[in-house]
Amino acid sequence: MAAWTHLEHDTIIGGLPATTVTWSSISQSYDHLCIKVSARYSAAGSAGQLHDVVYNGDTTDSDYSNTYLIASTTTPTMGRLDGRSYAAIMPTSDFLADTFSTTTIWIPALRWCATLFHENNDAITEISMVAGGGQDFVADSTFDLYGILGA
Amino acid sequence: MAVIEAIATTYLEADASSVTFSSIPTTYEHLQIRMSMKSERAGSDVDGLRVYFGTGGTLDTVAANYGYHWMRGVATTPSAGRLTGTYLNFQNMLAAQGGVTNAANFGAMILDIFDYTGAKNTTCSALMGSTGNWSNLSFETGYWDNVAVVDKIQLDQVNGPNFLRGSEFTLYGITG
Repeated sequence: MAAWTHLEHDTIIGGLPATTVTWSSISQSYDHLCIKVSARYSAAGSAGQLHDVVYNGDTTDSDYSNTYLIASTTTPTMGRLDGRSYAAIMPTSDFLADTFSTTTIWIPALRWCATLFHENNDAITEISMVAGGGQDFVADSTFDLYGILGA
Repeated sequence: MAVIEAIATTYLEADASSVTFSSIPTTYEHLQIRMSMKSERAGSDVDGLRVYFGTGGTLDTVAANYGYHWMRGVATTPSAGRLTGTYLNFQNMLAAQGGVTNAANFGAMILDIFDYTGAKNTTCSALMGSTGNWSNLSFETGYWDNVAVVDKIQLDQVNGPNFLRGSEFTLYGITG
C-alpha cells in the first residue's frame, strides 16, 4: 500500500483571490499529514506576510503555541509565542514579482503543525489556511494536503 | 498513480563535473531532489552546490536571474543572509579537501521545488548538512526569476571541479 495519498488540492484561480483555504472532513485513517503551499500575499509588507493555520475552526490564539526561527536579516532570531499566525511566511507585493512561498508543514500524529502546537487533543478533521492581515492569497497560489501512513 | 514517483537517479561511478536531469515531465505538482554528494574541491572541506534551471531544454546560466537566502550553522556559529543576482548557490556540501575529510563521508541535501509548472517564478527550499572538519547545517530558499515551466535542472559545484565518485542524485515527482 502506498505510504502517501494526495488528499486535497486548491489553486487560487485568476480573478478570484481568497482569504482562506479550508479542507473539511479530513480522513482519520492516516498517521501524519503534510501540507505544501506555494502562496503569495495580495498586499504590501516589507518583511513578508505570516499566514495562519487553524485546526477544527478553533481561532482562539491562546489555544496555540509556536516556537520559531527566523532569518529575515543577517542575524537569526528565535522565540515562542501564543497564537496561530507563525505557521508560515509568504512573499508580499513588495517582493520580486511572480515569486511565491516554499512552505512544507508536517503534522505528525495529527497533533502538531511544524513548530505550531495546538493545545487540543481532538482529532483534526478540518484545516484552514488564512492569509492573515485581512487580505488575500493571490491568484496561482496552490495548496496541497497529503496523508501519510505508518507501518 | 503513486504520490511520489522516482523520475531519475544518477549514481556516479566516476567523478563528474555536473549532473543534469533533462526532459522532466510536467505531470507533477512539485519536484524533489535527494542528494548524497561530495565535491572534489581541494582547498576547503565545504563547497557550494549550484543549481541551474532550464526550460525548452535550455539551461539558464545567467547569474542575475537567480537569488537565495540562507540560515546556517557552521560549528557553533549561526548566520543568515541573502544574495541576489549571484547564481543559486546552496551552502554547504562536503568537499574532499585534498583527502583531509573522511573518504567515506558525504553531504546530504533535500531540495524541494514548488509548483514548477505554474505561472510563477520557480522557488525552492533546501535542507542540507555535512560533517568535515566543521559540521554544517543549513536551511535555505532560492528562486529562478522566470515563470516558464522547468523541464531541465543541472547540479554543479561552485568551486569543484567535480562531484566525486559515489555521489548519488534522485529526482522525484510529487503529484498534486
